[in-house]
Amino acid sequence: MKKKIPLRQRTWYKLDNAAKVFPGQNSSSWSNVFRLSATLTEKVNPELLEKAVSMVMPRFPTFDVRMRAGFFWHYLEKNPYGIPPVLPDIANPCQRFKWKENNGYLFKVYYYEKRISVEFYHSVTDGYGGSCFFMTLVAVYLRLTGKDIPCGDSVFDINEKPKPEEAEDSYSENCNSKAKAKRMQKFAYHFKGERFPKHFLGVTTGYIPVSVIKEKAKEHNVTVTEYLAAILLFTLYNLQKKENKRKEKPVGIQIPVNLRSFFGSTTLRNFMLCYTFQIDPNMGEYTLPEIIKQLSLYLRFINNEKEVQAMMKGNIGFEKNPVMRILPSVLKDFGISMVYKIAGEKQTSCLITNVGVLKAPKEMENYIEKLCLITGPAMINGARCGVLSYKDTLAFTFSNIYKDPVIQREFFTTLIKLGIPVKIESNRHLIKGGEN
Amino acid sequence: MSYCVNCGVELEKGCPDCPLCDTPVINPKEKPIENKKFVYPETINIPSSLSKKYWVFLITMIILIPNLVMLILNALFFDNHVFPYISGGFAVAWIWFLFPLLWEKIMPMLILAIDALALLTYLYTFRIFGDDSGWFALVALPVVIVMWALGNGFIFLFKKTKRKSIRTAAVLGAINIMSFVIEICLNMFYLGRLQIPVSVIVTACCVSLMIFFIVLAKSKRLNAWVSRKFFM
Repeated sequence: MKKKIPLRQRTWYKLDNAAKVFPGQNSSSWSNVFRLSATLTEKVNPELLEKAVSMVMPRFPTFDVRMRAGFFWHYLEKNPYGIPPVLPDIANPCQRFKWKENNGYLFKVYYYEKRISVEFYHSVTDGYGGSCFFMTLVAVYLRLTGKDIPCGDSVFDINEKPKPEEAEDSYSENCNSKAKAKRMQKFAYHFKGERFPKHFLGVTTGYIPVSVIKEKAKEHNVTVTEYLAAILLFTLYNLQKKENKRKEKPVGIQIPVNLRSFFGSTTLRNFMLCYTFQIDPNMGEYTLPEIIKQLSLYLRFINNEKEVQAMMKGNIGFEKNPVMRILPSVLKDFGISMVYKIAGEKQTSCLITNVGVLKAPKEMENYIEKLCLITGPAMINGARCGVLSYKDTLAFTFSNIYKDPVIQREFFTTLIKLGIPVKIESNRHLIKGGEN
Repeated sequence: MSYCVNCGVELEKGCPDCPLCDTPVINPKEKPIENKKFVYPETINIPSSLSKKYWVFLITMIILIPNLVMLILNALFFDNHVFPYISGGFAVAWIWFLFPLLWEKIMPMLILAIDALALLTYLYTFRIFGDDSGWFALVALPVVIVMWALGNGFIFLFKKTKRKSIRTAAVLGAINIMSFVIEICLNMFYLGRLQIPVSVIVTACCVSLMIFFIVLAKSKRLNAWVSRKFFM
């Protein structure tokens, strides 16, 4: 039910630098979304979950918003429509967001059997902010079912007042570089195949023991993200090789990185940047250890405050440009949508995002079996992967728009060959033909 | 627990086949689970969206209203009969571009036939309101019929083959046929006799290129040589 809120009391936020491009990219069949899921030990009660959502909302004012169109830019405004509905889960997750659906909220809450899932529109938050909101929601739900769950780690105290720094736009707060990084790379290889119909997404999750993968990464002196990203890159490199092309294209991977550790930010809004790494098969044959080494060296070279500042400056240049500023938001959206469709994913063959280890209070761990992160669909990339570690299990989830699961098959069989056990879960048998 | 014999991954309990390679799971030690709940529910949700029909209706209204107003004004106040041609043009454009959007399943040959019929009807209005010197029967009708026949040929061929060289040869052949038809029709209408000097030159160019592309499609050796010599 809509409550009339006086104009002065309608809290509003400018979109942060990363969030500004997402409304332009939004289409009738595609949005930039991601999903966090928690499988509990007991069946989920939707009434209690709805109550938990209403209890959590006041603590997270940046999530209690709807998207509004200003003349020059979109902005977020406090949502007057109560709370988002709690929906039964579906087989085809990560669908597009429409500003007027879902009571105007930019996140959707789903339940199925023992699982709670929340899908976030990327303009609201990134993986870190989403995980804080999600873990707090799960903790509040568990409390409502009679469990004694303390606050701590990713679980926020809902009786506490929201902190102003949690709503800050950390890009403009922290960007003070004079240099702009040039980020143009060559157009990369893309896996091609028969696509699922609109609104369908193939999701395949592989559960891997953290201790085993850590040990394997340690053998190469790299992090788990670097190790997994290198294997994914190697998979796509081999797929291109099998196509026997006369001239092979570079194979690129995009890795979003959380910037909070660099700048000590605690914002719950977007604060990440994407690094892109490419290998060019025309330079010669690559082996997996070579790719692991090069990727790790590249990330270590680029992953420093100065480079990050220069990249941020480059991104912020778009919103500070006087010509861009005076353009009406309709034209900006059209321009962004065209640029994204033409060149958005051209420089990368795949994406891997790792939100790291999600820690919950000890008491809460007993009631959560597993957690998983699903990235939304890509427009042309054959693989978008979300990685999340919880207790001793790493969940590696592929989101694929193509019917043929060749990328995930090659990736997971490579892990098996390397001696890493994988347990698979998927929705592919439910959406196989793409028919409903 | 079951493992895929092909990929080696561990599978969800009760999974009928491997999600990665579709290999069926046969595990005599694992009893089938009745009413097995999978990780994802069976419900598939297709979000509502504005249908194509809505857009067709909207654009039709935008086109229709000024056209109707102008037709009425033209009939009442002007007597030069220019506007029916403009309205007719809009009608043909509607049939060509918007009408196919109303179809659930696109049938290219039927659409092409309707398009050709619409064009002929539109041209016939010029004959009714304009001069009747025989241009419709001698030029417009044969040219449109040949274009329609060639269009059908393309639809058939493009369904049959994806080879670029064969398709290119077909396009060249069509250009050649069209040049003959247009030249014969125009000369018969204006000069009253059969003359084809331009078409012969076009034929010489097209046929030699067609032979080249057909040989290119057939010969792997030539194909390899061309791709080596003319790579970009």
